[in-house]
Amino acid sequence: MIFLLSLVFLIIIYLEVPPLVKNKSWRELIAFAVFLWLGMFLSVPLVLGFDLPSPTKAIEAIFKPLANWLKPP
Amino acid sequence: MIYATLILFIPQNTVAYAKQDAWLSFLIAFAGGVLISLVVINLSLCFPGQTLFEYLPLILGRWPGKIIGFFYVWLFIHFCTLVDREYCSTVVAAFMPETPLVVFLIHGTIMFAYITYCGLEVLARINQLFLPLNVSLLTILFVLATPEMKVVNILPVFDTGLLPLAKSTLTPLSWFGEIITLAVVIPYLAEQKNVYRLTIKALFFVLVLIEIATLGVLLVFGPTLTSSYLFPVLSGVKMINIANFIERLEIFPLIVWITSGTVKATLFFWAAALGSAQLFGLKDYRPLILPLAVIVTALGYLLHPSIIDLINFLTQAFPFYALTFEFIIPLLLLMVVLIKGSGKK
Repeated sequence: MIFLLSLVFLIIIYLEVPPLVKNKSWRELIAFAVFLWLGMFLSVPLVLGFDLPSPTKAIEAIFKPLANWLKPP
Repeated sequence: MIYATLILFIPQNTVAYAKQDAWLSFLIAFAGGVLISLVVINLSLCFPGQTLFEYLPLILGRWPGKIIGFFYVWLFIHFCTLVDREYCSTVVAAFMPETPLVVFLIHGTIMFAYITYCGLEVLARINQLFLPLNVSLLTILFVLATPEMKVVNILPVFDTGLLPLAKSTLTPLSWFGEIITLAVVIPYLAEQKNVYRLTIKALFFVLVLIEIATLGVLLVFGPTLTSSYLFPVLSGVKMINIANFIERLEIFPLIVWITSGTVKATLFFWAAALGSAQLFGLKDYRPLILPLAVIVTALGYLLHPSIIDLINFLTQAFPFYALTFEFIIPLLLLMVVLIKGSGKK
């Protein structure tokens, strides 16, 4: 699985990076890198079997009092 | 280009609170949706030709605007993920329990990424193609289900108290509130002048579709059964049996779900891609599509451990979370604009 995932990332980099470097659009490259890094950060632990905390839990914690009020009887 | 979000899950807690008057709470939610869209349209018309992400820094100053902008990018990614996850979970839970969820998630995101790569116009054309199909399918299913319906199931009308009705309205309201995407779409609309009329028409259209589904299910099952089913519409369609010949029509609501869900999720995906590109100050959003697709796939898997968790989130915490971004922040922004008197160029 991890090999497949790395392959996917390599394909994405191969598809996107050369045209960006050729056009010297460094801003695009930085934004691309930030998002790709975020994607790696989210997907690699999943494939390796670590438990990432779900962002849902944070949202639920913030809105907990209101959400409890809305809980069906 | 008319933009319509189709929402075909019937929220359990709407039915659980409003009982047989659930159709009424959708009407109220529609009124709220019109109010939200008026706020969003007025805000957008103060800055003609600019999207939400471009005028946020103008209103709030450079850095606070960008930070709020990133919250909106997250919101659109989250919406896209949620829609994706809803439809994938439905397919897994109701039709293909053996297949891993991630297969559908990957298929979905590849499709969103491709459509987004082609641009907004392609998305609008896809909507044009699918919308008549979906509307006619839903109407036909409603008609076919009439033999199973009992009017007794939605009687007595107006029996619900005000507070339960208000509670039941919140979830549909947050879904109508997804019209916030309009703040990103408006600069790309072909007919700028008719935007009020178009929006209200689109919202009304959504209302009619939701009412067809809700009333159909309520009439077939009655409120108690409806709130206990995981997929009331699917179960309702399963009841259709005409002359032992026309039966097992569950695939048709699935067609409606998947096509409309694709359009909706892609719109959010497009908004997220465009928004992040504009926040970074890029000319083109295309380089960001593939990384965003990876994020959406991973998040879709990560956000909820099960479909029950997903539905609980959607009906409990989600309305407040979504309405904060959909109504409160745009309203505050509009007030800031009106007070500062800025925006008119």
